[in-house]
Amino acid sequence: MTKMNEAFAVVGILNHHAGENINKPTLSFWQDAWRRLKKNKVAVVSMWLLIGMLLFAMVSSFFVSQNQANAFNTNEVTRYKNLPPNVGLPIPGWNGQSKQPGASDTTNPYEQNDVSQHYIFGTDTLGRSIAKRVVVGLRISLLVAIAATFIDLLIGVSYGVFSAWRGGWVDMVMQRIIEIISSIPNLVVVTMLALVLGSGVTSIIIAIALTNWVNMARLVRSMTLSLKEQDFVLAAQNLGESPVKIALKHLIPNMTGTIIVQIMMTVPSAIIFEAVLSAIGLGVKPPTASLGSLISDAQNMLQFYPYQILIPSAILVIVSLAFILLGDGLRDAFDPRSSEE
Amino acid sequence: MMNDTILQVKDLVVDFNTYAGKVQAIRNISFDLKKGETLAIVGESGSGKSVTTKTLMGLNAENARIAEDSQLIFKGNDLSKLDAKGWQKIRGNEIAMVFQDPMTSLDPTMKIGQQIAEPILKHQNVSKAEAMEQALKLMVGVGIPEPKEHINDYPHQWSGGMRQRAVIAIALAANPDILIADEPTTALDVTIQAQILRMMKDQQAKYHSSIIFITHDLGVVAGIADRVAVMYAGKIVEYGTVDEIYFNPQHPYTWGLLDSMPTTDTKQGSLEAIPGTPPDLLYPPKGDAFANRNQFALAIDHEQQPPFFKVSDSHYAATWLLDERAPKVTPPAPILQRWQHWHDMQAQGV
Amino acid sequence: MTKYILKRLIILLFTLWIVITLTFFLMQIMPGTPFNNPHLSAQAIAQMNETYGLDKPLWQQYLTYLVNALHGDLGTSFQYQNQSVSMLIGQRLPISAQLGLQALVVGLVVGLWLGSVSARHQNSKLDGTLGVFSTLGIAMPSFIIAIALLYLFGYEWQLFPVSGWGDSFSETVLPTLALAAAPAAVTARFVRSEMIESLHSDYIELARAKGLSDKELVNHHAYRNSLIPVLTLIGPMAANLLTGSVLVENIFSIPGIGQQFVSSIPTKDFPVIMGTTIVYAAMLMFMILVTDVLTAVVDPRVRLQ
Repeated sequence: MTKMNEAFAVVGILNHHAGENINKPTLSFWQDAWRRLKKNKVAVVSMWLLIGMLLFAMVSSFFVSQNQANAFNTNEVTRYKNLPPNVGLPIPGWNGQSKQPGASDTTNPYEQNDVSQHYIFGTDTLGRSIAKRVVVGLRISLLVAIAATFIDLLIGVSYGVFSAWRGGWVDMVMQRIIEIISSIPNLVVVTMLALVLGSGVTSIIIAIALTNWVNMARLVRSMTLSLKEQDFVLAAQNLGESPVKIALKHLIPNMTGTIIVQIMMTVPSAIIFEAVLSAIGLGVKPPTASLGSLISDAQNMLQFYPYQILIPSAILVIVSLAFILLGDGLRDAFDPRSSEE
Repeated sequence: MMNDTILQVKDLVVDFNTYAGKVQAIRNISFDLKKGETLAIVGESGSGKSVTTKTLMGLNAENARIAEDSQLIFKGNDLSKLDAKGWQKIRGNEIAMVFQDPMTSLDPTMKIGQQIAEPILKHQNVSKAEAMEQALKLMVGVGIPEPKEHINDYPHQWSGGMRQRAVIAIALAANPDILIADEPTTALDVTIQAQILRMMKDQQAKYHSSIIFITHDLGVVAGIADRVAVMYAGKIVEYGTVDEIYFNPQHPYTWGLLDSMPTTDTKQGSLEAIPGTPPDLLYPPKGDAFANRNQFALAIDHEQQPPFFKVSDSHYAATWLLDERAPKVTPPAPILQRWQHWHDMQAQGV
Repeated sequence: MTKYILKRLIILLFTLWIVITLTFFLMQIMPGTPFNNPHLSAQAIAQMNETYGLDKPLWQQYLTYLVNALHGDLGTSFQYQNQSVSMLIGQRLPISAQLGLQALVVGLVVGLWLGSVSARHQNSKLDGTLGVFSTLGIAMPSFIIAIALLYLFGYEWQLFPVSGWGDSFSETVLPTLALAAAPAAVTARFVRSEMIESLHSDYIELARAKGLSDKELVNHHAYRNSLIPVLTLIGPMAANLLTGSVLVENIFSIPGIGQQFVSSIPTKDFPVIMGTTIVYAAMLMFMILVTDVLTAVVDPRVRLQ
């Protein structure tokens, strides 16, 4: 009986915090995003692939130089030209055998021309190793794309933040300018700039950067507009922090996620634009190789030597695919609502 | 007596499978609904009141699972065993629902008249013109001014209050037996709230439908409900007539809800908040779920779930305080006043 | 509505004026002249300059160009002597326009279909497979798709002609497909996410509460709500089509303005470059205007100011 009475004694709230236990450890924004990104296998593979490619592009400059990839022996062109890919193993399509359209038998140009060396990606019309030219070409294309994206980031972010922060007529004028620029097709702008600046890596970078920043500026402006109204920004303003400091300390850190996702979309579009410029004769100066120039140079050989165009095209597609897939993964990681619905 | 019971919910258990585990949103509730009556289900967010209504509409998310032995008897049929086709015949026709947020629940790209006519076309064998004619009548019924001029308007042209009238018209369109209203006035201004509630009562009288009224606000309940069920952490903790819940509350959670509600009756005018937060239904507590927010909790509350104790034929409460072995506790002063009022009412034979 | 369109047309003309001005002055600072043939005597060059009005002061050249451009006269080509730029472009524009429209229509239709199928089978294997294709469609620039189609269908399997235009419809198949891939991919991704959002919206829940079947939900409510925003994509897509068409026309030897544009770059045929730029900009601005007006007509939420 006493035991029963004990059970019915008023004891009140035993554990104040029982209902408030947070089972998940609190993670910072970046830790949380990283945790979600890791679950997305496609994005992780893309990320490692890109890191690998960037490292490779940097390291490769020690053993494959521009000159090595560009050089060819004028007297030996006929002997070395247009050799199909050969790894020296009996893999169909990769064994040095070639079959010309209309011909009934496959031939082995390596045996015919008495070439003992194996070119894993074959050679081009001047007898240069496509493998070497692709390595150099990838390096140039990545350089162009990343440099252009970096400039476009600088212009786009400062333009967007400034426009939204100043507001009023400044914002209006700056938005009209953006509208005018975006109503001119990108290709036309890039072409004009490339024509004015002359050919060469630097002018391509500038031409691409000067067309691509518009999207970034729009994105940053709209984010700044919404952040501007938030309490922590208003507080910083009331405390008398300078606009530059507010932008660097409060605005930009809060849009880093979105900016990174946008960058992942900008880089492949810059790579593609470089290729387009090469194809219309405004790209890198020959004999310099870029993925774009390799593709456009090999275009005339498509019917007879398709491997010459296949390899740089495949690499271009793989790189831009990796950027896009990583971008998709990052967007989902930064904004879980976009995917977990 | 059984004949005028239109809906009987027996041992309803609903779980949600989430990546973190099984969330026990409804932990065995039973109630019934009579023809023409209004039942209010009251509770704070996460108490399971919205899941209850969605279960009654067959609108739960895909990861929800209704337990095998749960029964939802509606006009002799068990709704919990319905397939998709079966639900389509019930929804909007025999059981209809008024949603919480009128700003988002109307299709922004469809004319309002058409949206009201849609359930009529779906469930009744009428021509499009007849359906539009009925829609017009419904618009008059829910108090939309100049309905003829506005039947071809799009939702964005209307205010929130007007849109909610349209949402109610949609729910009434097929003359349902049960109207489920999920916080229908929460998103509206207080002045509009009263108008909408009065209009709903009028429409209910006209159509003789039963209403299940979901709210977190006991204040709204007084004017509209016949009976009240108080839900907490996936269970019903107390149910009774409106007067019984208002003036003779027995469960400490109901006390808390009443204390945190401003009324003209409470002379003190002091509003008490209930301390703490509801338990995580991933790991429901073994005892009374409210024990850890309850200053009157008994030792047994922390160990064992209380059964329902009968207060009157219509009034039950699940609290160990009603056990004969329990000590008499003194509820907070405002509740004592309510009890006093109840006592006076009984004495006067009201 | 008329007032809005008029206002937009005035803005369009103003923008076009800025484009013309920018183009004109950019061309002036361009290094090199079209007459740098070492075999030409100084006298001959001077004569050429006179013929083309290049000896006059800059502002006069500009005014002449502007006034002429307003009359539809974009000057005379350097490359093809005695041919007016307007005529050159006029001959080729219908070809490019047909190619572009065909690609846009095919791309939109395929994209809408793929996107809605994906959304309705969200997270299924089918959705995953279609997702791979639409991502590929975005990662692969149209000229690479063009080259792949040309090689496979043109050379290897010989199903379609590899070049030319105007003789048969089959000639248009490969270039149209090459150009349609990107719009199809973009539309599919966009429609998928719009439709998923729509299917999770409150108004779909309410429509479901009306007793509508899944099919009715999609047909009566989800489609309309997720298709209207697709209209906003058409502007940017048209811009990308222009870029793509330049190379695709070149690859398939299609005599459109893109091919002409490319051939005028190495020869420094400034009047043609300027003319094409202006026509491209005008076309793009017109497309954007048309889609904006169309959106306003179809979407009841958009009010024109």
